[in-house]
Amino acid sequence: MQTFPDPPADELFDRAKSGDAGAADTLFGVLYKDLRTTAQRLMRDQKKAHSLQVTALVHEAVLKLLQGERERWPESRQQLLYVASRAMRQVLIDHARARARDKRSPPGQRLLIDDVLDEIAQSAVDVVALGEALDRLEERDPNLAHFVTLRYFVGLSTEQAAEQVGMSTRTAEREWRAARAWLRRQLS
Amino acid sequence: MSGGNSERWEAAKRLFHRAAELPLAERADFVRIQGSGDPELVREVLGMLEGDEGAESFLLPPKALLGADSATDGPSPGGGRSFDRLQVLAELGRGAMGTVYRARDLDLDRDVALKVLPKALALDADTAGRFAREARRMAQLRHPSIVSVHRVGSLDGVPYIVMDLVEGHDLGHEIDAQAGRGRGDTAPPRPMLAAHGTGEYFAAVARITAAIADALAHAHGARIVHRDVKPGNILLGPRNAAVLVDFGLAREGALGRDVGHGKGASRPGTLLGTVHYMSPEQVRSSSHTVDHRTDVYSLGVVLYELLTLKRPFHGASEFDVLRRIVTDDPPSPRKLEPRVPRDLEAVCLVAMAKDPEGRYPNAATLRDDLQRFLSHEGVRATLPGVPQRAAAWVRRRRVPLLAALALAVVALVALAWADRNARERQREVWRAELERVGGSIDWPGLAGNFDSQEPERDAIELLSLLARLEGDEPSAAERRFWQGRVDQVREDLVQVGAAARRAAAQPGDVGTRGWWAVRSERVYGRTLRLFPTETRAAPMSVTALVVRPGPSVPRNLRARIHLARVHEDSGRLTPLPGPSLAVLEDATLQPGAYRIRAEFGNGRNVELTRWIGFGEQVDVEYPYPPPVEEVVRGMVLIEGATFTPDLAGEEQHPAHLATLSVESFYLDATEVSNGAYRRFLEATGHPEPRLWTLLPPDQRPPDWDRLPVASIALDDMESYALWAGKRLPTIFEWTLAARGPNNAAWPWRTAAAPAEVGAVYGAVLQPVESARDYASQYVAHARPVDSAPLAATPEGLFHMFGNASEVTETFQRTRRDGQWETFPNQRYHAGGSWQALPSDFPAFGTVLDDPRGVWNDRGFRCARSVYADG
Repeated sequence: MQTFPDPPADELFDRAKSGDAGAADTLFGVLYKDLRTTAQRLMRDQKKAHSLQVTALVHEAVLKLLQGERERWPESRQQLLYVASRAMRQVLIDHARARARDKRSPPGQRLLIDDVLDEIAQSAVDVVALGEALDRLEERDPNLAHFVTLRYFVGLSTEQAAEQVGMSTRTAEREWRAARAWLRRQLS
Repeated sequence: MSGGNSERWEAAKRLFHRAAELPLAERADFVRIQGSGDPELVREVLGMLEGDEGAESFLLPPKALLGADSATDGPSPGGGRSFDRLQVLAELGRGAMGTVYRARDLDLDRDVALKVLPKALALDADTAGRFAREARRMAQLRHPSIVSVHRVGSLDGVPYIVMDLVEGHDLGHEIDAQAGRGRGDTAPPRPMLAAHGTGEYFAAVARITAAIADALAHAHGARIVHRDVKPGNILLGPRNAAVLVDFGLAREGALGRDVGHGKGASRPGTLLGTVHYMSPEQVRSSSHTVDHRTDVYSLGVVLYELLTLKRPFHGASEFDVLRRIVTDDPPSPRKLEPRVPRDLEAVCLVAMAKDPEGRYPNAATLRDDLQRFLSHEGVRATLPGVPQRAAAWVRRRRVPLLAALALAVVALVALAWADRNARERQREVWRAELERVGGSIDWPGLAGNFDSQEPERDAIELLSLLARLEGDEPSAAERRFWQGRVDQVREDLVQVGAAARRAAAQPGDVGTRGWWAVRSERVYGRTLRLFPTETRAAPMSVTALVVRPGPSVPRNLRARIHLARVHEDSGRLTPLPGPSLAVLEDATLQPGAYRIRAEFGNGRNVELTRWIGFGEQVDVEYPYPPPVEEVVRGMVLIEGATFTPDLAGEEQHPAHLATLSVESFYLDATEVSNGAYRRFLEATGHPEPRLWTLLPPDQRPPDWDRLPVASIALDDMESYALWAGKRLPTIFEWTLAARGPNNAAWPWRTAAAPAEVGAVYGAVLQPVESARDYASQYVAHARPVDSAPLAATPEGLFHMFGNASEVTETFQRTRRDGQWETFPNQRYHAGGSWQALPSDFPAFGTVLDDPRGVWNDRGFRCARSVYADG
């Protein structure tokens, strides 16, 4: 099992940003731990068997994050959630695209991501179109787009997501309503 | 509506919110009237209204992402439900840490506020614990401007707090009201204070801020830091009395000596607090160890917003705001609102100083200055045009305070964020380390608990950091603070040492743990001691290097100890005077890397490299090595050379394109194999590699013994090398051996591609998900250490590229603003593994970050120096 120390993450970001593969390696571990904690919190009430799948989803998100353009490296832990949530959103959308190309589900272990996508499909949301609409929302209202991502793709509650984007819960509820109305219109 | 036009988007949202509150039938007309003259806006909003209809279930987060019922909010006392002599009346608001209801206290027949932790959170022990702590803490505080807690209870396992109900609204609403900003579609609330811009208003603001400052001073006195002071947490009650609420993020001990216990009070990496009111040190700190002055800052921001009705820092995103908090100066309040009294502006800006040292040293001083303003005396804060003077004032006032806070852990926070000069940046790194180490030490646990080596190691690290800071002229306050702390530790250590000595059966037999007090007893027989020259600082007197023979050394043999400084940028050795014991004891020893060699005089030598930091104790026990013929069997003599390595790039290492001289040395022809490592385990009883425990013998492939050993830590490698009479190669030796003196592209020195010569590389792997993957990847991809002869060097070194990545003894050097710095815990590893890409060759690309880490593709091979006697 790889073991990871917990060095100052900020220093690691610096070094990873300048292309230090070793730092990226360690950073991976640090981020991974963080994200898994988050995921586990989200999975609190789920059965144990499920948590490996969350891990897999988070893992994919982290890989996405690590493979992303260098400029997108988070500059602080505060940015971590932002980048990570974007990565999770991207992972889901990529996966949905891949599934659309190849109708059969991939062999081997069925991931949480498939459950998530099935559920989204059942709710008649075109996740690829949603991703594109969110990109457009981001252009005019990045904060709100981040909120939607946290709410929908990471599964935070309104309160949690509001806290993360610095909105009051009340404002967030309003904004969430406006965002949903606008996005729904975009998708119709 | 054109994309990216955020103003138009805001207008659309505003109109949407207002329309959405109207009855369904009236909405469209309302929008058309309101948006007349802007058909695009009307279209957009009508579209949104259409989207809004029946959107309740749209975009509900996938349940698979949520806990089974974490979406629902707990016992939901619900309207009309009564319990604990409380009748729940209405929901007042929701926050991250709970929902607040208005409830009727049936005994006292008055309304109270009932705060209930959401059920999902109540299931989380951490959160429930935090909620309970909040309640306890608030109950401790009795102050007219802190909401008072009546009682704490629990319903169906969900904790709740009963508090005073404050009739009125919070400062956030007041600011909106004053600015005439509705929240979304609602009309602006009615302001409670006099109109903004009037003298009466500013006086009320000063009074409110002073009251909250007084409340904070009271909380700080009880060692409670609020950490989330913001308008939403300050309620404005009848007669404009301000009340501070929500100690949900408060943290005990940030003022006291129980810092060690404060750990975990907030989860690292969890962003707590609302960004606009976070202090620069909160933003920068990765551990959120901030002291009471963060509250002074946040209250300063609240004051700023009350004065100007605007937040000081705006940004396109939350992160932009965070960045500005750290880097930008807030616009002067009077520029935004010329009616702001000059003195209040000065108070506000001093409270908001970026550097905690530049702020009011505590909330009481801030309160006093506000009261001076209210009684028409001049405030002490100087105008922001002369920041130095303001800072100087604060510093003068701070001196007696420092004495009072002698035990406080001041959060010396650092992060390389903006451009700073190298020296400043270096200091910041050290300070951050100090903070990290200081914060992680279990101070009370230090004395009397010498079963654990952890606190000792931390304390030593702290001492060494202090020494480094001292060399770099820290502020007097900093030095005094840490010095006080360290003196205390030193006393503790001496006590522990004395206890250890008393407990030891024989003098000198106290093990490494009692070293600080028994150094004089250690100077005996073949024990060697070294002291650094810089013993001027008291903490340094606990520094030592002890080299002594291990149990395998025959009693009648006496080794001579040679010590050489390893030059970090070239691996070159500078011998220290020696080898006689007497001379060495007086030797000058700078912190750095040292090669220690025990010479037995019969042709046997054993050597190893150690990093010795400031104030550090290094204990070295050397074994009796096998005869030289046996040691060098299976090794290849690499001829020394002067060469100019072309490394991956100049940023990677100072040796890039430098002229290096490497002495002749032996290098193992192959990576250390499982078979060789097994012999070591059998001889020494050393624990098995992780990988071996995952793969029982019957599941191992037939060529198992010839596969490279992997999944072992740096310590294991060094122990093996020491046992075998060898050491790890330096990265310079390794590079010379792999590429020759002329920087050949590949170990095999031809233009052939790696695939053509059978190099083992390029396995594309899925991430390791389980222990099973970890083992099966290794089995699938590792190859015998003596395979692929075409990929060997002309001298006969196998798998210098690929197979197992090889760890060297060389400490990582990293460039920070033009200065190279050594990371003693991190070593270079080289050559890439079966996962490598061709671009991973030759070396310097990668660093072994964790000396305890074990990777399934990381192994090693050993080197040995050539000495005059063998």
